[in-house]
Amino acid sequence: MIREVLHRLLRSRNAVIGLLIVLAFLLMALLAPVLAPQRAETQSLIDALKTPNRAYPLGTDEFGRCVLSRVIYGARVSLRIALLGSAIALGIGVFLGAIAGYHGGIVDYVVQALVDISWAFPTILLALAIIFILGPGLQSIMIAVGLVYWGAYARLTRGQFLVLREEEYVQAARASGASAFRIVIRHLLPNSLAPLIVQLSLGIGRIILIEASLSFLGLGAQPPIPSWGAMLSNGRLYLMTAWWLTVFPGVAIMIVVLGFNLVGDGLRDALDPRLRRV
Amino acid sequence: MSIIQYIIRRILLIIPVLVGVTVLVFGILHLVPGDPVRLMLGEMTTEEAYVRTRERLGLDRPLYVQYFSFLGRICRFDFGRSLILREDVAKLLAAKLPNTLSLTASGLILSYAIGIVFGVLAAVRRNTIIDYSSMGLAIIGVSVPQFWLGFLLIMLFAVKLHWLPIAGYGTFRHLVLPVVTLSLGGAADVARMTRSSLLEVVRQDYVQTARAKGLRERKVIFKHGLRNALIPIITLLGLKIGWLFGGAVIIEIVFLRPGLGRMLIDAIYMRDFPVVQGVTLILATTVILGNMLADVLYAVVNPRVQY
Repeated sequence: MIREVLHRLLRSRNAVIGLLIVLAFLLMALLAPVLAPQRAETQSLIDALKTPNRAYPLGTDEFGRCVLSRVIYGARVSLRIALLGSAIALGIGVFLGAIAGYHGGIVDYVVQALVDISWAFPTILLALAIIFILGPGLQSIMIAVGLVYWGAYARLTRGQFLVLREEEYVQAARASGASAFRIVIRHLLPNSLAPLIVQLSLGIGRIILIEASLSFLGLGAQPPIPSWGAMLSNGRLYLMTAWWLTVFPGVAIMIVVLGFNLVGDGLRDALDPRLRRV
Repeated sequence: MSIIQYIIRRILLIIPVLVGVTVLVFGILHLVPGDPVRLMLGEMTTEEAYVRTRERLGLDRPLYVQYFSFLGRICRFDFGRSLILREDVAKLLAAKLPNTLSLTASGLILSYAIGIVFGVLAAVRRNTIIDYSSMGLAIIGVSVPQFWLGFLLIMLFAVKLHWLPIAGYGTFRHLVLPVVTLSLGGAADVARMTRSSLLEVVRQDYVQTARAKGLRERKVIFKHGLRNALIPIITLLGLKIGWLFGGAVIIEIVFLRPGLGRMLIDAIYMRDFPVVQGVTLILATTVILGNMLADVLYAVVNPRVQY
């Protein structure tokens, strides 16, 4: 099954492009100290607000910091928040969705109601309310996005469990005396992974956008941490004179989110051949 | 179940969600670290003033009593007073809500208009350059941070070409860039959905029959295809309303528009929690009502819906 999906995924040109983009950004984040010409915080006031040139390929900001280096280091911030935030969302969502789908009844009703309530808030609004409570900072953003995005994973897991628990092999496992925990871990969860992986890929892209928005509002990464959103917020002050401060961090966000979206789309098509034909 | 019964049931279903939202919004005050009274009065206050304010706000009473008192007040549109602006929050909300609503509603209309046109073009001209470029643009559209798109549009149309104002509020010209920025991301989603929905519909037997009857392709697409393809696109409406309101919060900051978004961000910086509570509540309620309307609309246009 996995080999077949992978084969289909790799046959899609868009998905391969997406995978390459994601891999490139992961490598960029991991190897930032090697790849970046300078450290992200290194200032050189004499070189302030230089247009892109040979020494500074993407120009410099008002402190003479190398924009290329800050964009490269920025990948670390964005991807760390996106991956850890997704892990929090996935953990909460799968846990609650599994309980709701397996038990049904009142537990299911309560979980569904919680999802409905969290979905009543525009994503950014809920994240803002959580950050208001926790105070600004990257850790708050990570928790906020986790608490904002768990609903989608809960709904998916619940939906899968509701269908799967009626399957014969699950009934058989139950009849043979397997514990609920064993049934969930051995049978239900592995067979629910496909839609969760698709959602995860698309979700990571969205979380990167949310992190960028919150940092842009000044509620995420605090100076001098090189976050793409914070760089854009700063670039806004020089919109008329230093276009490179606004253009390059935005391009980085767009490309990495595009990568995750292409992978998500490709995975969805690979896992659901019926959609692929459309 | 008749459609009227369905609508009544749908309206009743929003009550628990609304209650949940009020609990969360009420919780903001109690979850914020530190003492809310100290936040209000500042650290340099007398013990007497502290106790008086605490009693006036009812913070000395049990939590559930405080919640029901909060519920009673918001039912009378009493959201308290802003700690910073020293004005009734309800009055502030009433002043700013129309700005945010006009931005969001225009964004919604434009995103559907652009999205449906591009989605239909892509479906009708499937596997041509039009399809590939529309869908290419659409996936880029959902990957772009909205506020960044706003900056790019400002740089092009305001700074470089001087066609439109950089920021501000008041005239139609001030509304153009914010609305376009807000609608492009939404349009991308609508276009993707329209394309796949239309392609799904045109494979159905009744559309093949229409073709076999000798109807012109244009009529087949618009009369039989699009009308039915639009049904799932309406479900997207519910999601889009929340998304657009969230987007409006950021767009208002980018284009310096006075609206609920700006008010909320300022209040978060200033720790002005009555305003944070008021804005959160009003936006969430608007989104819930919008979702409900989208569901009702869906039921009205789709005769096959199971009530």
